[in-house]
Amino acid sequence: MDKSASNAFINQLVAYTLGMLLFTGSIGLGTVWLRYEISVVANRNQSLQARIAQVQRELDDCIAEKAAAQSPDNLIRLNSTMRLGLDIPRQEQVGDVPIDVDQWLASRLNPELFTAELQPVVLRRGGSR
Amino acid sequence: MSKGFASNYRMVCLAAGVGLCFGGVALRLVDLHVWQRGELLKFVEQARRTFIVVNARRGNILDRNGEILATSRPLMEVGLDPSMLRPEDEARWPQLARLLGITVADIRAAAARRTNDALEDDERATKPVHWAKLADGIDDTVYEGGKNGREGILGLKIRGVYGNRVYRRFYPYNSLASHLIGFLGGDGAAAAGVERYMDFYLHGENGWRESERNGLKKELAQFQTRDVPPIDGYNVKLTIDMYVQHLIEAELQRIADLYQPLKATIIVSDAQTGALLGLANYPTFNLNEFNKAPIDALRNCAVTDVFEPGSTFKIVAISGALNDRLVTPNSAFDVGSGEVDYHGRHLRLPRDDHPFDTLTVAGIISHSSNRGAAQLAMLMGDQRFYAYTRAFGFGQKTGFPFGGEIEGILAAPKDWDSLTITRMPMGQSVAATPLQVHYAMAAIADGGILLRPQLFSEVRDERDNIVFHFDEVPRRRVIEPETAATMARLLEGVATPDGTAPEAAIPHFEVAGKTGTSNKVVDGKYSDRHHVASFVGFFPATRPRVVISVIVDDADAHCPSGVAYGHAVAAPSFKRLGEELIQYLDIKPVTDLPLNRFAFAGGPR
Repeated sequence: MDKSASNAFINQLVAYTLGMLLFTGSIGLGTVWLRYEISVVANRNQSLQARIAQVQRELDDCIAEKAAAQSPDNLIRLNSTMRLGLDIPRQEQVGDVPIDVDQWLASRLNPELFTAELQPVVLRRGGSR
Repeated sequence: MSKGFASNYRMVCLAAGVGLCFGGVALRLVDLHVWQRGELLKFVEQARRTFIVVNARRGNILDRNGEILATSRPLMEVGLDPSMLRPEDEARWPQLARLLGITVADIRAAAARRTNDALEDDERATKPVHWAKLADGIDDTVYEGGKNGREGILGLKIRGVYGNRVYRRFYPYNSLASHLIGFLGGDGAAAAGVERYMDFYLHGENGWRESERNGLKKELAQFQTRDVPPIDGYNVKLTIDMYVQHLIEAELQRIADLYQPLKATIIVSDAQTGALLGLANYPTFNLNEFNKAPIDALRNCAVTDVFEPGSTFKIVAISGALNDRLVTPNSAFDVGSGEVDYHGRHLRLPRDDHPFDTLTVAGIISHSSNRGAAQLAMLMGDQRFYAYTRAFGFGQKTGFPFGGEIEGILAAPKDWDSLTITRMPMGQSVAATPLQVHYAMAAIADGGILLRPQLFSEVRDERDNIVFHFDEVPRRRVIEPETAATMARLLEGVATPDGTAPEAAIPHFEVAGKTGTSNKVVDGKYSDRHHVASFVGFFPATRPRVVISVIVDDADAHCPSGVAYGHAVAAPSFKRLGEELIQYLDIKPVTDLPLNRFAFAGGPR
């Protein structure tokens, strides 16, 4: 093809112009699409943030309600209305013992461990695995 | 080809018309985009730009076990825009009033407020009202409707009625530790107590973001330009124990029911660290309704009010004399005689309730002899006695961080009259706050070291990392550890059948303490019918765990004997509290402590 011919030049110009139009058009469309996606993601983030804030609020509300439900006044009232008869132990009900209670309970549950004669442990070289 | 309609002339005209139109448009575009650009951009910016403040969440106040004493709770503030109300919605106003807990008349009054007439500024006064508050503290379920189909405020579909979500301070235990926790004012500003003192840590930093909004006033998230996230407030952990505080307040209520006193204070602290486990006053108030409480109830009497400590003050003279090696526990004094010579002056000694001829130092303390205490102070001399009084913390602030603490009243020896040296050792001519008396006794329990009241334990961030840790703060050594141990042993005599307060004795435990019954000054004279009854002590005496002070002001009218003695009014409360604390804090009795270790058992130092 004779590129110097005027028709050929116009054809080339038209082709390049069309190519350029397609290229810039696609960039334009891509930009629009990108901006649309950005706005979608931004809105989704915003709604997620709003949801997190909502959950945090509900959590705060639950914590406050739980604390109020555990208040001594409320527990005393519940104890009375539900007729549970719960009371804190009084000093008269408590007896002090002069022994180590943990050891005493352990020796009662496992007398063989505490009363059996102690056997020395012998370590042998190359023993069974 | 025929030219027809499209003659050259017509074509030129058409082209010129089109060209003019395009030229006009182009000129207008140049006008808008070049010449008026600045003004129009400003207008657009104003219309579209938005600045949103993101509120930080205020930190919680916790007790030493992490129980929440103060927190922030999301609630709705419901109001209306009078200009947007429709007449056809009025039929639903009674339902709205019921949901909000107000009357229809309240809604009518709010709806009638079309302009801000209350404002003095003319321009603002004529400005239409777009928000008139109807009620606050409304639950989400009431506003939005319950999940079980219960209709909420939004469900009524009344145009112009809407709510704003706000965080409100909430105190789950109502009046518990009210004088310590404090509260926020109506405008959300910290007004009193820990809330105010620790506001720097609690309030956090609000965040903000700059963005744009569309014609529907909806934020366009994609145009956010700057976003500064909020920093939530830190949590402040106190040394107070919620359960101990509850025990104290229950005991105060019991005292109030029995004796109807003018006021009363109970303080419990850790004997080794000075950390306050509980502090309460009667009368008290509900933190969630602080604006309904009388002004007197808001005062923390433990630091703002003074009283003459009475016999509890005798620990100063006795400790001082023992510490200076002027006497031993077995030194005997003539307390039968009512007169004594002091520095060339002939002085009359105060009267004793239970007369004795001779008492040892141990007897002076267990029988609470006024004459004995006066002679011990005289033995020390004015200056030494005054120095010990100051050393025990009287006449100066304890260092309690808030609440308007006062120093009390303690005159210097140069201002004393001739009788002061005989009266001050028995707790007259001196005025102290309950907290001063408490920490003076705590100094003996802690082996002779005066501690600063400790209320704060830690500051933690929202991820529970420790930001700041508070340690015990010793102020000074007042007496030697050996003297403190001896004093503890002598103070045990008070809670024995021979002492002045057997009512304070706890079986199997060594209770050390001192009663106080001081006459109140009425019309410039000591009254025989108005007293302040107190019992201040600690236990176990040889290995102290807790210091307890019970101070009851003017309970005489409802006492069977007509006089509110410390042993009758305050000592039983000490015992009851002590027994409950034994269970809760797992305090063990000290048995068979060898005598050679006894001297070192006053404290760890």
